Amino acid sequence: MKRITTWCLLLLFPVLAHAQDPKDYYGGWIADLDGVRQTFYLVIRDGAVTGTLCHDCDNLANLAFVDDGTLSSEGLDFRLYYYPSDRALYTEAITATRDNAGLLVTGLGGRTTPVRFHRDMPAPNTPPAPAPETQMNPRPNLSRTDWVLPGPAETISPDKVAGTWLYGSGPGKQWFMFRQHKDGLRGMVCGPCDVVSAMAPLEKIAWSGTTLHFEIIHEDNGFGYLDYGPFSNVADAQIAKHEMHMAVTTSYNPPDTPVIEMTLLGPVREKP
Amino acid sequence: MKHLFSLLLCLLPLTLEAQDRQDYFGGWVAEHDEGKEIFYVVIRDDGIRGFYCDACTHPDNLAFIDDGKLAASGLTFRLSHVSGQETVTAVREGDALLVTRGARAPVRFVRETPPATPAPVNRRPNFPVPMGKTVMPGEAEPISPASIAGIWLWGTGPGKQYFLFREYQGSLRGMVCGPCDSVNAMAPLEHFSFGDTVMHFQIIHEDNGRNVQLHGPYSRFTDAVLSRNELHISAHNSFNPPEAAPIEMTLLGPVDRVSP
Repeated sequence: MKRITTWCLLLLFPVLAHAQDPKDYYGGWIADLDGVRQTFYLVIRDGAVTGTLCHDCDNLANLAFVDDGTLSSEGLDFRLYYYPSDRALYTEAITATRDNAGLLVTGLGGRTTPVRFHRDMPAPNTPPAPAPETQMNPRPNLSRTDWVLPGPAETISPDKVAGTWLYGSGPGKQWFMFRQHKDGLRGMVCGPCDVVSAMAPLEKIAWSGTTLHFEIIHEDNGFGYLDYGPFSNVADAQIAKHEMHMAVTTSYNPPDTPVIEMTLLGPVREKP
Repeated sequence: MKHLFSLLLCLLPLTLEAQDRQDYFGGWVAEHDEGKEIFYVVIRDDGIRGFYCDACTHPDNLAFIDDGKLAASGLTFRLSHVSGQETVTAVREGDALLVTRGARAPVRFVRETPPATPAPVNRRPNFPVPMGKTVMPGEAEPISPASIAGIWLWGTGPGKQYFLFREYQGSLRGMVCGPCDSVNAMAPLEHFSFGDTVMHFQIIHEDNGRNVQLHGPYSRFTDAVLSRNELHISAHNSFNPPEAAPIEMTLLGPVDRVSP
């Protein structure tokens, strides 16, 4: 009996050792480094680790991508891809482990000591507080079915999409930022851009002819998360004359649910 | 009776001038296989201005009218393109305006009939906004010709408005259009001046805009404030009393690269 128990434990050990819960890692994390708010949004899906890191997050030059990541018994390993405006692309190898106080990130900005990130999320089961009415100008063109594009849909290419596109106006304006990464596109949407609860990575970006397809990834935020857990807003978009018209379905809804329609304007000139 | 005759003689030049202005100001169009050429001529007491464009949504295709003179022989002015300047003469010939640019052959420009149905416009954002309700996304930023130059957009769909601003002689000039293939939906942007965080300009309507039939040529006196890729403008019609509520709009931009 003793021998059988020992064998069972030995067999189970690798499983137990790999039992890191993605939930402990994914979603938004913040830290203030040298007076600057740094925000991670980690995505762990289908065995892949992706996401974003940003500071002053409404500036595309400050957006780095998490890529080449794995979640193991040791924690997270991934590579950060930076695209600063004043120098060429560079990368950093990052490891991240959990402790009770947060996420310990090693390798960030050449630091030899770990940096502790913490959650900046509403407590579980607490709906996000609506933005005060005075902080949000009326939002245009949500949920329209008779939308008119300003011209023929244009052929999609990374060059055409890359940049910052805007939706709405005021403090809650949404910034959709796209950048060429490896042989495709990656990005992030935020609005307002100083809180991680209003951010979401843009991933799984593909294009064909005049249609752009991407997913707006919500790991621990967004309307629907509290009821359904991590989800994606799956977007198909067309571009015509500085408008990106998006039809969005939410992954937790049945396919026949009416789409959400939004029209972004851009791409706008980046800040110097 | 004799005095009345003298008075009429005195008024005659004024009446002639008024007729001449009307004969020349406003929008003129020449259609070619490759598209339209458009002149919008502004003739006011402080000078002759306006613009010329083809493929009018691109700021580099915008040229400005300066140093104009209206005489019995017609209109002459200087046209400043991005690439250089040329002298232009324009004379009325029946219903048309015969325009000669430099050494080129004259081209017939005509008035454009407004379309029976306006271009479809998706619901326009943030217009009208009750006074004082629009919230800027951040602090008003220092404003200068360099920070504004380019394309700013308002609304979506075929009737989306393009506000084009181009740096010109240390300041700005420009044009608003939407849709941009009809001179009936265009207006020059002139008389720019700058404070620290406020830009002032005028939107000029000579023969278009829904108020022209009631009030004749008019201007929209506009103050604009810049913050985080938003240009919030507050405009007063020149025919309204100063206490009238302004029209408020928020433009997004400037556009990074020009769409075809």
